[in-house]
Amino acid sequence: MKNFINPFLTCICVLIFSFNTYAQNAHFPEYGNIVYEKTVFTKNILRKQISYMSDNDVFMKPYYENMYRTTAETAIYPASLSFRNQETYFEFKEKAQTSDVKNLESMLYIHTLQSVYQNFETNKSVSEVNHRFLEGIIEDELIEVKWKITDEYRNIAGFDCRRANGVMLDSIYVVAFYTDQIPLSGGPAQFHGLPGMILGVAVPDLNYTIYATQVTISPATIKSELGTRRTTRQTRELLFKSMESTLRNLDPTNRLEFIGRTFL
Amino acid sequence: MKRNLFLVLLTLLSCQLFAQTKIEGNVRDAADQKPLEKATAMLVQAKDSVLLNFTRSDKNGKFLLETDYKEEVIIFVSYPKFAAYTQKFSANVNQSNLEIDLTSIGQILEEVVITGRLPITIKGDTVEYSASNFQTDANAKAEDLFKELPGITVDENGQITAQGKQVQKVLVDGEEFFGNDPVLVSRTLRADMIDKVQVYESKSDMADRTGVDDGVRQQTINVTLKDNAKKGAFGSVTAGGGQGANSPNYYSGKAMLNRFNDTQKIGAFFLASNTGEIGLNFIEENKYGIGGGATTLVMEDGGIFITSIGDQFSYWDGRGNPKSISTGISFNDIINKNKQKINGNYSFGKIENLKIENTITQNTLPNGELNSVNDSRNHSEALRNRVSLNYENNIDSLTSLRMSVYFNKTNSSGMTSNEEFTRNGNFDLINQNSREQLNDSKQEDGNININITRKLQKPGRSLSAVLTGSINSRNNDAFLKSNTQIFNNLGDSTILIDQFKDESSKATSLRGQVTYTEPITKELNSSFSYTWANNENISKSYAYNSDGQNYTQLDEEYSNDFNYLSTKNSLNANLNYKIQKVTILLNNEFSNDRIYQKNNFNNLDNERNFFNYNPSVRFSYAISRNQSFSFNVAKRTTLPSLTQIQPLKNNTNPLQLVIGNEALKPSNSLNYSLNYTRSNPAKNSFFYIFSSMNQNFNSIQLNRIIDPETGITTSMYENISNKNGLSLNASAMSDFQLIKKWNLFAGAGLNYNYQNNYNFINGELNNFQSNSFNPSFGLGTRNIKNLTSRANFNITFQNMKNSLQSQLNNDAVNYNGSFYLAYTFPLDIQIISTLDYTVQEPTEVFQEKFEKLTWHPEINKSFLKDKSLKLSFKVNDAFNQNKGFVRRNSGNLITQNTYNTISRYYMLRMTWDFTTIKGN
Repeated sequence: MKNFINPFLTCICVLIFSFNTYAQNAHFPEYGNIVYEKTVFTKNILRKQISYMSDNDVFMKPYYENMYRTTAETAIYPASLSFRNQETYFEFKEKAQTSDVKNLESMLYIHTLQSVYQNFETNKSVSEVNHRFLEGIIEDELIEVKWKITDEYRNIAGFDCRRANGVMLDSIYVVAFYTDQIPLSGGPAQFHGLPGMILGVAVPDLNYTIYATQVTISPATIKSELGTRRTTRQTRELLFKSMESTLRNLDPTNRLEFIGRTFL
Repeated sequence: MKRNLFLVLLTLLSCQLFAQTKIEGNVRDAADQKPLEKATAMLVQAKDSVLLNFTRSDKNGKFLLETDYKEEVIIFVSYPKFAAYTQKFSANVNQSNLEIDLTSIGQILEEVVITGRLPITIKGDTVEYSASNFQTDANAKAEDLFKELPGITVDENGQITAQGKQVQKVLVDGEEFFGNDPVLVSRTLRADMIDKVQVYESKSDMADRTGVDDGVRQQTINVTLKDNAKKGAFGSVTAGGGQGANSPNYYSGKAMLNRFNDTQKIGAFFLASNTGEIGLNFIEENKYGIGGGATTLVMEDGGIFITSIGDQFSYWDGRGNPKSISTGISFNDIINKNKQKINGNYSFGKIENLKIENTITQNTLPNGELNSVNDSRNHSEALRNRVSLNYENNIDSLTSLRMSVYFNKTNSSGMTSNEEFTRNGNFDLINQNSREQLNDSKQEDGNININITRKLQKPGRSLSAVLTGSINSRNNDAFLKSNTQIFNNLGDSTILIDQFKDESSKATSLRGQVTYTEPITKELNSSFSYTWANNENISKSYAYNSDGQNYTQLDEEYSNDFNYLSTKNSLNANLNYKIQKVTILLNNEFSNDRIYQKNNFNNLDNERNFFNYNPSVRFSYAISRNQSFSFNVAKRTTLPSLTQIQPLKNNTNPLQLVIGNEALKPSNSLNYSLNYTRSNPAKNSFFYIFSSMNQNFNSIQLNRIIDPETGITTSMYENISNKNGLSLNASAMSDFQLIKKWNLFAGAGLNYNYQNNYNFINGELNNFQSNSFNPSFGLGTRNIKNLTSRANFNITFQNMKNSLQSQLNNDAVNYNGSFYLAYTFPLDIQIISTLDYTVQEPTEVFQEKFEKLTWHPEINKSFLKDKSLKLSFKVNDAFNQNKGFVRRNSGNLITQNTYNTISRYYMLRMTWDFTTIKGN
């Protein structure tokens, strides 16, 4: 009898033990690469812009309405994020877009951020911007975010993520899903500030989402110096000041979106 | 060092002072009591879950969390694959040694709840509810609507269950919507904004993105919103009347209406005036959806292309006193979810005008000059009916079809009388002509254009076809009575003409083009197109002399019967190389044109073939977003036109004869252009330089043989083969904010033009050279409430030389200044002032200084709450100085043309704008 029970018990012990080992040694990667995909809801952006226009605007309104009819529902932008210790480097990958989407880009309805370096130790953010008012680098502190933690969960790219709702740049509402399994309070673009890596972001005001599609634990190269020595460098405040006269002429919702598209 | 230590102490102390809450804990696995490293511990505000602070446990499972928040907090401790730990702490707690044991998720049994299922299916896997079929309160939210829908339940926390499964995603128009409030979409969206609610199981995000189905399904609700559907009408009615200096009464009336229902629009307008307002302007046309005049086209590269047809029924050229009536109706609709767009128009127009003109011409000859004076009086009436139809269909995401058709029927009649005298350099009268002509013509013209584009599988690969057909037929009956007297040494002579002319012409054309685009690499794109075009012209003109009572005798010399046919085959190969900021475009056009003409009177025919190769290169460099540079070289070929090869012999003016030239060859030109633009939106400024140069080879020029004795001019088109023409144009313009505080903007521009042409006068080569230099300045205010103002000033210096009479000085100086001001006073009273001053300094030929100052003051007041009623009083040309006046120089001809136009009148006008818009 003893002989019989012993292997059985050992089996259970091994099972429990192995389970526990697995659990206790949950892997918390210190470095790695994440593939993201930004989805921009182009048609909804146009629809919103058209609704802001007055019926008397006979120059731009027909132009936008025409574009609304021909443009695709969404535009996809592939991006990647490398993270190591307390630093991340995010950049958009090149992808051919349709002419309508290129138009929206040139009209600044689609992101102008090209790449972002974030350092959570020194609270530093360096981002490359391609904007009508600045084609260069913004060097500043990390953008402050006020987060609220919720009880909603979602699995993104194989990681269990918790939802948090945040407010950035005074009043832009963002939704983020972060995983506590990557112990770095970073995220794509300028998003950060949660107790783990942000794998999904949605900004309803700006009609876009960024979701991770793949996380690989592989050596990461972080680019902390963006641009060249000759590139123009500014703080957010300075850029904000140069946009002042344009912003003054926009209505409040449009103004908020313009600021959001510039910085997020 | 001491100082540093002090700082550290101070920091520690201040931490102690400000940290109101401090929690120290220890995280362990409940199963084996071993410490868990890197567990997440975070503090949130108890009342609203705002994240206060977070940390990770160390090797021993220990963590420390602090916050200076002064109210209740909640601590969350989590570890992957373990159930989270939550505890609420009262304000200002100082907890140490908080023992936290986490339990592995594997040990927690999930509870499954099954709720009832309602069998409703509509489309395949999707259950669709039409929101309008469910009753909700006026201010109901989407959640209230969901509660009404069978099969959907909503619990107190806002959690939605559809068909028994918990809804994991709520989309709005396909986009994941999180609302502006941390609650769900269901609590933020207004129910009356919703068109449809669709419930279906979507594939997981992962499967959506990768295309690999992982079998995971998520219960999803998609809410489609109503389009900004509106119902209503808007319009405007204007009526005005007044008195003028020359014509006793002036009037102007306009009514416009646009009715819309969802995507459907019906527009109508009526206009009657004798003030020169003939058609609707561009803004009105678009606002009321009445097309016809202008079309807006969006180009591939994002540019906007606005084309407008400026015919006599849409705008007045400033000559005479026109009296017009026009009316029209249009229909616009977008059907099938934006896939099809249709626009139909009908318009009617009638214009009556009386033009009285005086033209002085100086004709430079190799030895001397001729001066002529022509007085003419023209009374005309024209009437047109027009229908047009535009149709667009985006058949699927890859194929689109665009079609436009129009048809015009125009009847016009007129009477023209002319008196012309020509004198030589000694002011001796050498000829005199007086003629009278009556015309009655009917014209029908139509055009159809079909454009199909199909994108193929590979991005950038596409196939498109364009088919264009047009027809234009015209019948004209004319009576010509002319008396010409020629005085010269050999004896005076008289030419008398009394003829009836029966003219008819018919032109049909058909053109087809196929284009294929193919991306070769990411940077290199190519496109190939083949064009075939066929034009056929039949032109008949019979002149009959009077036998005293009837016009029966055919005048063969001035009768023509021609057929003219041209066929074009061309191939276009195009390469586009784009790398980062540089774009290079290479274009090669090979074309073969066949021209065939037949004279049906003598059965003689003539066929010509021209083969041409026209390459062009364009290089552009986008230095930055706001700065760009481009350079362009293109070769162009211009074929001789029908009238140049075989002009129909015409005796309308026996003193001006034109002879065709069958030997004409195509002319070539090389065009170079260089452009640079720069803008600075932050400083509200921009700057550009446009420059271009044209070299003309073999150019087709009008050579003249002018009989100095009789003044009869015989003109003939010929190629100038040994001398190349040249033209140069350069302009620079800068616009900037002058004084930021006053929103004052300034602009300065510079224009330079140089022309160098050759032609033959009486067999001698004449070289015409002109230089014109035109600086301009402007000042204006922008973005100031109640005030709009701008002032412009420009000078033109012109210098011209004809080699045949190089001693003649034709230098001219013109000035123009204008000032516009509109200011709104309290009580909605507005004044508008438009001032324009033009001076043309005397020249050696025209020794009279021309000067006019026109001022149009207006005062108006708006009434009613929405300012929809406006009463205005306007004086047109208050100083009564408006005159029609043009001085023109071309080759060896200098002309001065004066004509009657509308000058001083005052008008009282009432405008009422109305709108009735009902919401969704």
